[in-house]
Amino acid sequence: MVSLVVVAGTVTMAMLALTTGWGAAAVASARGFLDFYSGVFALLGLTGTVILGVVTTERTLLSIDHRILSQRVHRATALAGMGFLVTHVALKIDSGLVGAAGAIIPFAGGAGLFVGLGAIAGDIMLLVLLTGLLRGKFAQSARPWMWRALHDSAYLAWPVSILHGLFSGRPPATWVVWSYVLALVGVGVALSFRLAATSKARETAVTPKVEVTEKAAAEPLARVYNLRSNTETRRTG
Amino acid sequence: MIPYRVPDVRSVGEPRLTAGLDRVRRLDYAAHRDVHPEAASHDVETLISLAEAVDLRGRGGAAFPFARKLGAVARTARSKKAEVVVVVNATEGEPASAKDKMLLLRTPHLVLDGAMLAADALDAVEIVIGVAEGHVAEQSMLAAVEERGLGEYVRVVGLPEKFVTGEGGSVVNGVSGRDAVPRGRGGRTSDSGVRGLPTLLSNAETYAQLAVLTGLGATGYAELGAPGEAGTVLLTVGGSSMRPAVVETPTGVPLAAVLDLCGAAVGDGVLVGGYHGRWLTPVDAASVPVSRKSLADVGGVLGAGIVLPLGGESCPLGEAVRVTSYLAEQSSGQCGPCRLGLPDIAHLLKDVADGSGTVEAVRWAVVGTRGRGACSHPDGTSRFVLSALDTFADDVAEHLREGTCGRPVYGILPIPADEGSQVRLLVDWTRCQGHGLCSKILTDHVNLDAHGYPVIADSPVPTSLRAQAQRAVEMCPALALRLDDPK
Repeated sequence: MVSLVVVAGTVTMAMLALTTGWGAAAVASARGFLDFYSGVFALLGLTGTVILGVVTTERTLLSIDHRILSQRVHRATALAGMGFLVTHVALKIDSGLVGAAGAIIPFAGGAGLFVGLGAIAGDIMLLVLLTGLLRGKFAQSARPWMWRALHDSAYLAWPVSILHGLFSGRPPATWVVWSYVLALVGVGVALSFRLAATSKARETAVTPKVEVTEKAAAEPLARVYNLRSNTETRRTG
Repeated sequence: MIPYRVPDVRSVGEPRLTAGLDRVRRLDYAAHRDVHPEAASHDVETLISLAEAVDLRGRGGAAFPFARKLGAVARTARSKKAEVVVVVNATEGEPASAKDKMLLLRTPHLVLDGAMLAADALDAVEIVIGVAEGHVAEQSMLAAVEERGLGEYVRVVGLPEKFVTGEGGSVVNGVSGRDAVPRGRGGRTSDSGVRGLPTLLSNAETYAQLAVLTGLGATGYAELGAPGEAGTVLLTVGGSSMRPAVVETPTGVPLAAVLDLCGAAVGDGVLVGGYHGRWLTPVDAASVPVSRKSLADVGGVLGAGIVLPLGGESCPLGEAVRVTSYLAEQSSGQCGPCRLGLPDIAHLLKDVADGSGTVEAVRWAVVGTRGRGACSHPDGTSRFVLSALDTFADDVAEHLREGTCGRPVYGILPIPADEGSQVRLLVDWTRCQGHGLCSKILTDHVNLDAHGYPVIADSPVPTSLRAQAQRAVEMCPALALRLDDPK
């Protein structure tokens, strides 16, 4: 039912865009908007995703329910961010700013340094997305720690993508630079929170020392197995 | 059709329903007619007076007078000028019961005879036989219907094998093509049952008894049995029995004799009436005769004739916890107090078994559940739990004191394997950090201990919880959970 509505809506919109003048104009302006902003949205979405990902294991402030919620939102923003990233890449290829090869293979097809950095960041994010989708498989495998190693490469993609965002396209507006700074600070704070929490966990994880005094053993262990007279039928050997 | 394996049948004295079964695994139509000659057809009044004369009761557990049921259907049919449907309830959702499956598997024509007698008398348009889906009994009954060329008249319907499927309303819903769950309203099936028609709904053994009754006549039928409860009953004797069997016995015979016949040790008690029934103390079990009245006098119940001696080797409270958890899972989920209350009771009872709970907490939870559902499932389960607490008072006290009675839980009380689910949720304890997400995602299967680490139910993950278990594995921050499928 839902898919029927979606298909019908898409077909109607395509017909409007192809046959009417204002439809074509609307498509053109939407495209212009996405061309201009989808990269920014991708960066914002994925930055939010990184922050949420760091926060999901925060136990001092967040209850279990909040952590489940933040993990769900982490997944949702990741998918939204990746959607914008794909849109961004597709539109840039379509406008001839980068070749199809250059968008996937870094520095291929004569794309510049900062466009190449974008390709690197995009590839890594794709890998991170895949590991996220396959998390259950990793948990099931013999080497679950592989997941963390691969998924953490998001931290690598991120500074690379910021360099790409600042220097590959139009000169950034002041507020864009500021939002990048804010994103850096946000992730930095979240990450230090997490590192602090995990190192604390390690400190408390020392095996507690048990003081054994001479007086301790009062009751014999055999009490657990004490037998009653009315159960002769029970096998005790 | 000759089935490969059949439930064992034994009898105290002369067998009636099980006559001829000592020689063959299944009576086909010719063999059946040798043992039970064809009965002349009777009109409704004759059948009613016959049933009244020997006080024939429904054998599904409720022991409703069959004559009154028959009379009600006949009256409604007359006043509404409606057609009548005859329904045989052989679904037997009770995992510990085997008598109806035995009848369908080994002597299906006797059940058919009874149903045909009732259908003839009521001039019914159809006979519907509700059986457990996929069980061999279904094929046996289909073969019997074919043998007699009744395919046009008798419909055999397979219903899902769940505990509440045995409820009369569930069967009517199921054979009408709806979900086989109890009805919230809709009155008596004798007024409005299958397709809204007046419906005679009774248990398979009841119809077999009716066939035997018309064969012997009221006087002949009453030659066996205790005063006021003429005839024989079918008992399914399991539990600690060394030779579990369906036993046909005249009423009034000591229960101890039946238990002896099956090589059963009473031990801590005997469960009578199935999982909605009650426990008998060893003292009562040694002296009580098999009859509705005598069992009721000592606080028991005959019900559908299930007899489960516990033996002395298994932990009684642990067995009760297993059954209560199973019963909680079997709620159809329609009524809130049952859906939420029964798991609560099961958890609280487990706490008692671990020595951390209190008996009062269990009793309070029972009070909040009893009588608050469309069918008897919450009441029956409550009855079972309270009876276990009373009968095993010594064992309960020991559990509260020590956290154990030192005996393992052997699973003497049968519980059907969960649709073949063997999948277990496992923790890699070296990885678990006690994040606790699993306890919120998989509330029914995982609890947290005092340190915040998961305590996972000691049973396979039910099929209904598989998706949630998978989510718990995927969302564990430490990747410490996994699902283990031995297949």
